[in-house]
Amino acid sequence: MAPLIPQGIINPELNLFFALLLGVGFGYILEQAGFSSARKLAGVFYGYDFVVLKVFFTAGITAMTGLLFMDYLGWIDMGLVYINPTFLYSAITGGVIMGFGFILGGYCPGTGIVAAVTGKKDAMTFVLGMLIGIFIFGHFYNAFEGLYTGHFLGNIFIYDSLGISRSWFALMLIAVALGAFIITQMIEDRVNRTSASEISSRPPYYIPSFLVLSLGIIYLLLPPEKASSYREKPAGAIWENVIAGNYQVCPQKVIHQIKRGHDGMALIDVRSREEFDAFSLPGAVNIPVEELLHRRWKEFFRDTKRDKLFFGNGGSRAMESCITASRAGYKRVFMLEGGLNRMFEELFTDKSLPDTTVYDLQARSTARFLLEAREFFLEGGLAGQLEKERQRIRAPEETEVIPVIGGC
Amino acid sequence: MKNHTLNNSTIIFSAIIILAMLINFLTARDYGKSNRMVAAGLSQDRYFSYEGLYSAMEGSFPGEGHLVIDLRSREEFQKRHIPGAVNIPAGEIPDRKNKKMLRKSDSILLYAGSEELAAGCRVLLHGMGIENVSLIPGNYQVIKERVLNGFDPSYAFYNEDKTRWEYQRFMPVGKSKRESRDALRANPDPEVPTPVIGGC
Repeated sequence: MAPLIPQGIINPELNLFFALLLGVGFGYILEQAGFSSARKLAGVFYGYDFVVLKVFFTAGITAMTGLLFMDYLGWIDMGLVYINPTFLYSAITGGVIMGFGFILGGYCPGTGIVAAVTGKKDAMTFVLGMLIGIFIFGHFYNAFEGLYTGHFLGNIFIYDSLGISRSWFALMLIAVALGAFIITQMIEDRVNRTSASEISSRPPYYIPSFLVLSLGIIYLLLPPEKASSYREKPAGAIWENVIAGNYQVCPQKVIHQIKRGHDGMALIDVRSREEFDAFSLPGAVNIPVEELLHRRWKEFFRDTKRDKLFFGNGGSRAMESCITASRAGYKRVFMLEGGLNRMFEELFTDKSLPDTTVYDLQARSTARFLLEAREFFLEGGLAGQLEKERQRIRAPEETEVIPVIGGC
Repeated sequence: MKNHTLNNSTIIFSAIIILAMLINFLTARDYGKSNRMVAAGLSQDRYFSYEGLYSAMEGSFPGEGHLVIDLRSREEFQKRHIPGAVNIPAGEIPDRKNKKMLRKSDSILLYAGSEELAAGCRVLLHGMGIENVSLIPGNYQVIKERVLNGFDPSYAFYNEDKTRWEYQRFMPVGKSKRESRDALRANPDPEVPTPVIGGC
């Protein structure tokens, strides 16, 4: 139930219940494939039955193709999928122990339990041995720790080590799997001395092989990243908004909002970290363009109660961020027209104020607004907003990604 | 019976994927590049400096391999423009004919009535897959004053995104703000998820 529990859709306390359901399902399939029989499992080594190899290769390439395409279509977020990190020494030791146990008992851990449930006495002994092994490891963990965490390599991928792209590796794996199916079938026939008429009566699996191979080739031919998704706003609509000036907000409006405590407006600073540290508008958060589409800010932008206002020194960087955010499907994004430069020009440069004694309502209110704003910003009227700001800066940084952890 | 199961399940599996890809292809927007890649490319150098513009204008300008696009309206263009510039009013950029022309050229320089509009156009062209676009900084008025009417070397690397004022002097925000922010950054919530590890 990987994506549902960290997202809070399913109560984590039900985790074990679903684990039980999935485990029963998995065991049922193993039993159905005939994996509760040690004779069948050991067939891979003697060459009379390759069903284990076939089942696991099929499962592997099915899961691989499905995941690759779901990742491409944006149905699944591969960043959330937990990848087991590689500890070289423990991997080698574990492999040796598992192989040795497989030869000795004729089962691997999962199939051993399935066989034990079906009432096989050798499997029950096998499971008992496994439990003793677990107990020893847990009890003397301190002695094993150096080995267990030795030579950490991190999350390494086979295609990176080989120096090829992921899509090429996927295609290669599919081809290798199909080749392995043909070769193992030939070996099986020779060992079992299958008669020629029986071989010819067997249906050829042309269609599945062709389909799986063609899926691999389609994935190879796709561009590395999908150009657009259905959630995105079309370019034409964005461009119309840009020309009509729907994204631009004039500095006076922003000054007014800041003076009122800007409850309906979230300020986003698109400048560099250094510039942001030196000075920023009160309550602003720093999001450079490169970081804009990061998962961390998703929640922040999905908040539809507030307008999101981008600002930079000038207008161009803010406009770039604004368009990027708008294309990503975020609503209520705006930018400060002319940036901080224009805003300060409007506020503080020595503009000749209109004569307030003249009976011109508009000129008088403009002058009064400017004077009030100057007073507010120069006299440090912003100090009262500091407490509020602390909460604002904190809010979006908390959403840390919880990787989903599980194994086969 | 068993053979049919394999055939059928493979066909269903592939059909789902191919159908999804087809729907994805049919509903695709007119973008040629993913948003994430565009955003990553935007931080690169975006300005063509006035110095470069001036030295390029010494010769015949479009011969240099640059295509200069004027995004202002036709009337404004007819009054005066950078020599060798081509007029595409901002609204006509998405037209197929214009896109075809833009796709062919190696280096595109944009300017408009405001730098914002040119920057917006640049992002849009990036999204469509036209990447070699840079901006001539500032609006047309500034370009006219500082390049066309005589080159002013002190503005050789001018752009509107540079800090023009010493903001701290105007807006004292107090020390406590920076302190609180530093404290936050130094000590973020140590909320590490406890891993549950399973294996076969």
